Amino acid sequence: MDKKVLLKRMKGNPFFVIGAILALVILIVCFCSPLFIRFNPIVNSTAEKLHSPEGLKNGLSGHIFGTDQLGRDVLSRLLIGGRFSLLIAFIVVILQTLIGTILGIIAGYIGGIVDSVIMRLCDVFLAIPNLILAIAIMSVLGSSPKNLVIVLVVSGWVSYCKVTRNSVRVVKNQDFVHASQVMGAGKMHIMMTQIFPNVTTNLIILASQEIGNTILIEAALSFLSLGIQPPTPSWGNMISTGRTYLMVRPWLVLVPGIALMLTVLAFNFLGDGLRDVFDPKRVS
Amino acid sequence: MDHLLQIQDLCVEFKTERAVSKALNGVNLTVDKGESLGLVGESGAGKTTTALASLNLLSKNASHKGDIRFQGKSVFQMKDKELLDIRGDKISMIFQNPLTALNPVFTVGEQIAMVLRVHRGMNKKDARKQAGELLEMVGIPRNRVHDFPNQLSGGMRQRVGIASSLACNPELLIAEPTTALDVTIQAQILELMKNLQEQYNTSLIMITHNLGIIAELCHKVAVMYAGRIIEYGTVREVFSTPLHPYTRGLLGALPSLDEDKKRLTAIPGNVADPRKLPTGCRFHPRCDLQDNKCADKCPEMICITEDHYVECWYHGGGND
Amino acid sequence: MIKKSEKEPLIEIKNLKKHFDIKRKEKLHAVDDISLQIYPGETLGLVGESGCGKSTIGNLIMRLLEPTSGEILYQGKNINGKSGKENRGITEKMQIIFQDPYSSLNPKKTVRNILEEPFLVQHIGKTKKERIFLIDELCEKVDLNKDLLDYYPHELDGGMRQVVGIARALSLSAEFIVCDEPVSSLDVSVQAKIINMLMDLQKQFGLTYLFISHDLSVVKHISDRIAVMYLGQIVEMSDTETMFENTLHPYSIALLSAVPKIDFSNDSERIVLKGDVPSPVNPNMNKCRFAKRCWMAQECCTQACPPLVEVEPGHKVACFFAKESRERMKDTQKVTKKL
Repeated sequence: MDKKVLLKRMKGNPFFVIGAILALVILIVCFCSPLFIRFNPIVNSTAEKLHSPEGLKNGLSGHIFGTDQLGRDVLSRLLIGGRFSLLIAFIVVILQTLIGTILGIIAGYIGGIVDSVIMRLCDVFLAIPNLILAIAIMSVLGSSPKNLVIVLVVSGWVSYCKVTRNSVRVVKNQDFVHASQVMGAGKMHIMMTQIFPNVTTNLIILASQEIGNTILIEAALSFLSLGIQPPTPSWGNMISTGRTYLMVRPWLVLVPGIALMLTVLAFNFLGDGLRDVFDPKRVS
Repeated sequence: MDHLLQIQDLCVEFKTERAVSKALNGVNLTVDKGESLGLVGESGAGKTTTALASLNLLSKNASHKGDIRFQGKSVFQMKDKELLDIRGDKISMIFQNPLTALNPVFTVGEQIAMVLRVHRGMNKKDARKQAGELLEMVGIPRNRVHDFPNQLSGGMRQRVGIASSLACNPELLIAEPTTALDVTIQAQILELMKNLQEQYNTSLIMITHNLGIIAELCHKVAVMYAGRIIEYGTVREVFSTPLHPYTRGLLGALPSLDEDKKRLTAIPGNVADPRKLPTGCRFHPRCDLQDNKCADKCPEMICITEDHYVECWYHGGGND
Repeated sequence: MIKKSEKEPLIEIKNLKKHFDIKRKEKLHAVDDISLQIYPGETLGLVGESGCGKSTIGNLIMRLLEPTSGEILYQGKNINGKSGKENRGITEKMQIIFQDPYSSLNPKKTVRNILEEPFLVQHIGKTKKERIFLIDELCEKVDLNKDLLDYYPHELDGGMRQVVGIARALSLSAEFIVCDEPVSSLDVSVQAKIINMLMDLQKQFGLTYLFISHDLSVVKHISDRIAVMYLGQIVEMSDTETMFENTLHPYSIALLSAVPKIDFSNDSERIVLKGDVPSPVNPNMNKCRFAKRCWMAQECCTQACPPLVEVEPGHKVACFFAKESRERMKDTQKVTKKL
């Protein structure tokens, strides 16, 4: 696709622009947070329990979003928690993409029994609810970030596999694949050099939509104490522990809640925007 | 007005993401009652755009100049209701792809009956009866009135399309016959159209790049290039003595079943891009007869004989 | 003209069959017991309407499909049922040009990448420089402007894409090329350019073509010999001149007369066939497949399938009444073409 046309479409698509800017801002702020936060997000400080948000009164040295029940600065925990959540989401999506793509291309291109087996495998994984899976793995293997990643990858790779497989099935009937076969190219060569470049578009769209979804699932698991464990902050567990104080100190829930919502919205917009930008049937 | 359809100086532009596409650049055309006209040209010449414009069916990103008059009235100035009345009733169109022109969820009888109910105000029973008769007229057994499009072959679907286009006995039929049909099936359809045309005296505009079909079915032919008609006349005149270098090139490029051509004429260069049209005569960059005048100014249509008009500086040109 | 008695066929197929299983007990007979030879340096035109099996034969010869039974021989050697390694040295000599210029080139690759691929796959040209040289040579063969090498397929028009497809087919010094409707989706003037190019390349490099098309006029122009197919079988095969001057099979006669012609000289008669092409699923093997639409059909036509026999030297027809078909034309349901 023509790069110039793509850029033009990107600039013209409000979803893409809003989503991209918002996501970029969130990413930068979260990952650069150690550079400017003044408080330790894990260490308790009973003297400073449950302070209300000061806003920008004292700049960065004050508690802009207040403190939680253990005296920890909410903003610091928010940003560090954000780092964890986002990092986990990206790692999970990358791993899901890798596994799903490889299996999808093999299933789609080779077809036959291999395809049937892989598709049945997908069915099995789809049938397992990620909550129960999480409980099972966490209770048996313990709740470390590594296990969290495993749970998330296992419950989400299937859609990548199916999307890729369907794209591959369309692409492999194109004459240029036949041309490669006729000139003596082997299956591996064709899958990697001919087929893969033609399925990346759908993958990019899927991955960007899934980031938001993954962040939400991780938050839900952490909310249920199955994900990131305290004292490490995560938006999910911040909401969970803040619940008890909802009526008296609402910001403990609202701040991470709104952050979560904005982040997921940003990536959803980005995903929608990308889909519109890449969609060939778009009326111009 | 004597003419059934009159197109005057029609210019149509499409705005796309990349550029402005000048699809039609001054088309002048008339079709009289009972006349059959072939509109010939390669892709991008503007044939389909001309047809859609006649029914005011251009897409939203199109802007136009000039006029099209049907029975004296301008098509662009008609109100929506008038247009809806005319389409399917007085002017009918047969589309290119028989596979997608029919709705797969309605039976073929129902689709023809719909046209009759809308335009003729018939009740369901009468409409269905008439639909059956129309199917017989196009050579499909009446009992297939209850079949769905996917139960019929491509040739039969095209015939259903013809039946529904002719349901209201239109004054003008605009047809873009499908190239997706097999030659023997296409032959059946050509014969059918010839018979129907003789029987009902319908005016016909046949849009195609197949010169053979035009030769068999039409009295007159208009050759289009880059959104203009560059040669016009009776089929006999234009095909036996083509004047415009493009028409000669087209006829020379066709391999023939009858004569033995040693080598086919390949017109040099590429078809004019509607987004970047050449100055002056649109064909001049590819023409072996071009000279200075050709790049400067676009020639006007001149009358060579009563049955033959051409737009070319080599054959004269200027105002006549 | 090729003197067949002096030369061995370059490609030969013997009793080739391809049946597709569609549902239980339902087989689609795409290609049924086809045998033919293609001689070095000639163009064999394969003509027929949709569903007749002509493209399937092309795919079978190029081994994109596995035959149900039968043999495919290249210079006398059986290439069917062998692995890529066993056929090394042969399969590269056989190439194919596709119909659809839009799907025959990878949309994500530049023209340069597309033309480089055959060299990479076959390990020809060890260094980048060598490959660039080879690609430049290819461009000269097909008169392709070197500036276009960095373009993507969607930036080229249909005709140029076909030129790239032709260049790709020539890259491995092919001797035999299957041309599967290479000009059907092109405009008339571009079609002429490609046909001229194919014929020039054939003369220059001594290529052998199997030219598959539904367009009789194109086939007549480019072919030395023609085979007409109907529902998976060859119904008539002869050299081009004979096919048009002494057409014998009723289907071939109908096919020729169906083509709309620019002909003001005389009232040529057209034969309009009744009905539609029957389905190739589970056909009755004991009757002539054309009988239902044939104006000469008699009792015996529905009781046995006529074999493809030589009625005169170099002219084979599959019809019990081949020799009488030209007289019998008067009995048909004809439509006279008037102007």
